[in-house]
Amino acid sequence: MRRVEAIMGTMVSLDLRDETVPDGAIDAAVDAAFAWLHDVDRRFSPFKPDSEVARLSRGELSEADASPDLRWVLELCDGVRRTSGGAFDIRRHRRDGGLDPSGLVKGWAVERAADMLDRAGARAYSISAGGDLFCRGQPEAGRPWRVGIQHPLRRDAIARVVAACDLAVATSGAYERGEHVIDPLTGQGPRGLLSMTVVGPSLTLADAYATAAFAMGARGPAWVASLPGYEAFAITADERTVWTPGMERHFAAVAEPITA
Amino acid sequence: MPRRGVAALVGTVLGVAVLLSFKTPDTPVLSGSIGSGESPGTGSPGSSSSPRPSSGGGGPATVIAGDLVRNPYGDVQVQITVSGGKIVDVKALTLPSDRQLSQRISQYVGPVLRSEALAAQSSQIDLISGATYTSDSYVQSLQSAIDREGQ
Repeated sequence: MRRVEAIMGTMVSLDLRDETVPDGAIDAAVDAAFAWLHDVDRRFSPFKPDSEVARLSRGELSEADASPDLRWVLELCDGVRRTSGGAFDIRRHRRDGGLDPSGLVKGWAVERAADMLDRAGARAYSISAGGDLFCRGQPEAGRPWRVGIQHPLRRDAIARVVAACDLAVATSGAYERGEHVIDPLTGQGPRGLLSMTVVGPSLTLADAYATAAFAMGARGPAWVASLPGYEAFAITADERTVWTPGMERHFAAVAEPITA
Repeated sequence: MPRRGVAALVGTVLGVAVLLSFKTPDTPVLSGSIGSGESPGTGSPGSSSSPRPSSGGGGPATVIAGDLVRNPYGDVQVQITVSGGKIVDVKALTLPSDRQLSQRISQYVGPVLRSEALAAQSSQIDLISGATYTSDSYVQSLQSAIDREGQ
């Protein structure tokens, strides 16, 4: 089953390969998962004036009065802010100083959606929100999901292939919407990297770590190398790829390398 | 999974915070130069949303094109296929060309990357991880196609 919907300013795409689970149970879970994602979009978008995040940002809502979901997200964001030495800071990523937890919320929302599918018995699916994704099980017996890491300069090419089974993959890049990630420590767009991909067990953290490591620029991969369970693959502005030692076990063998 | 997931998250965040206070930030990082091969791109649009048509749904499929939406990187136009009241396929009819994009990016990062780039189709890719620079235009065009479907 394939399902694609426009949510959170991007495309959410589900590719469900389970064949043994009764249709009814899965259909209900898929509907619930997409309804959840639309709900997160309404409540957590900093760009929707009446969202909970926008109201908190304007001071119309106190943290104490925020929903349990939002308080949990803020707690997670604060954890990553401390872990990253301030490179991830939802209060300082936007030039206008507004609150923007988007660097973690998308991954968190999709991870929760994946939980719903898991609970319904799904064992083979991938779910992606604008290139931040989670892969469960195998798409076909005997092979992992093959995830192409988008080439930052060539729309129709990929830079590397990751073999994913029960793995989250998140990419942050300068090519998305101009310099959309600002390094809170410098107030500037990051220098030194074109894209930063982080893999690991949790999409919530992979998403936030990718945002933070990209904002760090050249020292981002070394920082990810220090995080247990998470690995990084980056493409630098000076025409090199950089990856953490543990990333190598995630690289898929290249079936047909193309050499012009 | 939710409880386990939450616990794992808290554990990871805390574990990381503790670990970092003892670990130097300069853990060795491997790096390698990318080769110089340039490949002719033959792949799909390269976003995660390049679904294959679903066989389910029933009833005849309808194909609807969205508006052509302009952005600083170029033009984007999306087409949807609707079957049984659901979108079963989304396809980009127009995306900014590499040339437009490279020119735009090279102003910011310098020389265009040399790469051992793989064409997406030839390497059996299930999905793509990347920052989708055209996402706003993509969604806008898609939405217009969806709106048209409802008329």
